[in-house]
Amino acid sequence: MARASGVMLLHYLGYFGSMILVWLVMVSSLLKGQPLVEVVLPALLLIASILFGVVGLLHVVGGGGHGGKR
Amino acid sequence: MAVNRQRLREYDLEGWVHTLFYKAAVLFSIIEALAILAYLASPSPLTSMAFRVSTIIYWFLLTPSFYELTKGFLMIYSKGTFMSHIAENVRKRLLQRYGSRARLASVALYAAIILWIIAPIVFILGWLYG
Repeated sequence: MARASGVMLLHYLGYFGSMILVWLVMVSSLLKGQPLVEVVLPALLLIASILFGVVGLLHVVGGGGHGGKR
Repeated sequence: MAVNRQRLREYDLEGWVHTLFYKAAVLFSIIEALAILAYLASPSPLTSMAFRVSTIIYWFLLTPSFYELTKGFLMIYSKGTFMSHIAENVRKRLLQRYGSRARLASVALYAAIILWIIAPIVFILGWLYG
């Protein structure tokens, strides 16, 4: 349970982080030519989507946990 | 498992849609990560287009989750008076005490949905006319 909690924390960090960062990446596209917009926000979204996807595939969709096979 | 999914669909269509989109988003987030990686590693019109298209699809797949998350927060904020399945007599009592929170929550949900939908519109317009 303790291990699963840590894994789920990473997964949900990616999940909620993705939601916020997708929105920020889209809205900030108005500000062209800024390094924050062109590099930093997409890089953060990359990290969030890896956390959401990889941990989600291994521990949530693949087996056990929220919405997984029981 | 398939029976459970069928039951969920019949019992709670909204929950079923959320679960379906959530699982699709988990799978798609890998594609989104690869598209971002390609865009950051070698920016070109092709990788930029892949990044933009995948981000729009990712936004679409996260939309039911955003709705459920916002609804959940507002349900908690309004002490269950907003969008919860409770007995009418209980709701009336709660509304007497938390009426202002319920009103604010009903406005906030629409405001959040509008803000959520504005993002891809800005993104697509910036892409086409920027």
